[in-house]
Amino acid sequence: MIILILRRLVGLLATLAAACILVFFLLEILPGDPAQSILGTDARPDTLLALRHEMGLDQPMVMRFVHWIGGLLTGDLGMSHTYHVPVATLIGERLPVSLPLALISLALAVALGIPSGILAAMKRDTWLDAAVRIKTQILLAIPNFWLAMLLVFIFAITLHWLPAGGFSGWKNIPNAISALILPAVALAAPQAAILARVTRSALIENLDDVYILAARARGLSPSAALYRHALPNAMISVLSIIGLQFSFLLAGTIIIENVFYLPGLGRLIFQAVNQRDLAVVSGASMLLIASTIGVTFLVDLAAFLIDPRLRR
Amino acid sequence: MQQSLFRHRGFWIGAVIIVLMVIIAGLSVMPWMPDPTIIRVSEKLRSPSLEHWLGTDQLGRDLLGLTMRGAIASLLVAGGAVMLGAGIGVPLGLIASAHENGLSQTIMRMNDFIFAFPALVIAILLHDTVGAGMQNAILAIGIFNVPVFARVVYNKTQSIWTLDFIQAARLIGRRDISIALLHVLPLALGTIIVQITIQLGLGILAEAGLSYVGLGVTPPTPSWGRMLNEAQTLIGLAPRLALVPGLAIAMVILGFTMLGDALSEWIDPRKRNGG
Repeated sequence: MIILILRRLVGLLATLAAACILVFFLLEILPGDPAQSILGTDARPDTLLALRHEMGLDQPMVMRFVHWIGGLLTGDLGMSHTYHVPVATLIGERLPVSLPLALISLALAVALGIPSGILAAMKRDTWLDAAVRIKTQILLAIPNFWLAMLLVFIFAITLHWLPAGGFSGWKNIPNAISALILPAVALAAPQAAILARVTRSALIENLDDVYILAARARGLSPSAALYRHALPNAMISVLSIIGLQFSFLLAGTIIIENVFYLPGLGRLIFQAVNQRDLAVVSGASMLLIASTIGVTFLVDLAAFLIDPRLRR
Repeated sequence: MQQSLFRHRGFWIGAVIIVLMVIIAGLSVMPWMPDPTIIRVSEKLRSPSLEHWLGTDQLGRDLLGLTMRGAIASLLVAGGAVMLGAGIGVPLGLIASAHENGLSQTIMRMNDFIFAFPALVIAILLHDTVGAGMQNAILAIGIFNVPVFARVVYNKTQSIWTLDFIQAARLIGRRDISIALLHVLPLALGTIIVQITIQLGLGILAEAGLSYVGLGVTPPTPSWGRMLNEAQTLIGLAPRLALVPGLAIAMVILGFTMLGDALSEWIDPRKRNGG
């Protein structure tokens, strides 16, 4: 058990290291000189040299890589040249928007998706099952940013129930939450559909298994057999999907934040891409990638703890 | 119980939607069609009329024409990304499944590694190197497709390699590569086709998202994602500008999803209960 976890941990660290190398070199092979593109083509040569020195561009690539990795390990992601603030501070300011948004949408997706999946599995091959199926197919087909625009049109512009965008911080909690409702619903809708499908198929797979037949033979009612035996087993595969979805949602906030003008990680990344603020791009990308890798690891770990079969 | 594919309602709905999309895309570039990219500011934001069936946008472009032409970018990006993903992923999956050794381990590890990069992050990282445009979208979505195909082919073919007739083929001296192409790949073809359908739908969704945030197809090439981006600020004024391209995206993805579901039930009837 402990050896298995340790082995996973080594794999996690190796993956993170490989991701660092890849991100660094992807941004390193960029054509052009970042210092030049900051200052423009008519910059004076000595200013250019000074900035190149300040950014460490006059050092060899290996040195810069070591420096960058060292920074990552100590939480120093470098300076943003557009904001003149450390990248870590910038990300720290933006996370209180993106992280709650991702968590609220995940909670919504779980609360809507899993019950409909259970319902569809219980009423398999009835009109209810078909209705859930059609609903999930439609939700999967709707781009979340389009859904977001429709929600803004209905609930903000026409009905004036909720704000159309913007975010004024967590000091006023009801305001903050009402600003996050529409984006969270838009993000959650397709994820709820995925969860409903996964729950349904995992449940049905387990319901068809012999141990459910045995439970029924012992006199358990169909719903007791489902809730006590099939559901916990089905939840193992559902859990791994939820883990994937969290990282997906965190990255998905990138697009949705642009619809609602939310000052989160996504807006930060986009402004940075457009202004060629590479320190911000690499730092924020690394954060998203690391969170994906980390969550996958945690989900694996949870599966180990829940499912004794995996421990063998 | 093997159900005939042609009696499956979802198959027909999906197939009709996709065939219609291809026809519409083809029609939009016919020489007799007016060019939808021509800007006529004097005719901006016109309501639907006989001349402009769906009205015009903020630059006076015909909304129907733009939407029809937008199908091309969607198909090209999703198709290109699937070709890239399947072209690399399928051979990788086959190689990894042939022998359980260091090579196969490495391939599948690499897969999991690439999977840790959300397609959007790939697009952002590539953006500065490749630049915005169709090639950036195809590359980013295609890279994301590679591990998907490799994983699906690996899972499907792993058990095939241990079957008796494969062992027999090995005994008579067939080389791995000819066994893979002659015996293993045909058995995995159904699974691959289903995955192609699914990834085409996801690719169209991803293309719309990338173009919406400006990382995909660039103007003046019409693209549904771009159109939605431009419609956003006008949604109170002219909601049809947002409704039409959004509906087009949703319909096409629905088509691919239904087709994919029908095909996967057809090749694996047990999926009638799963899926």
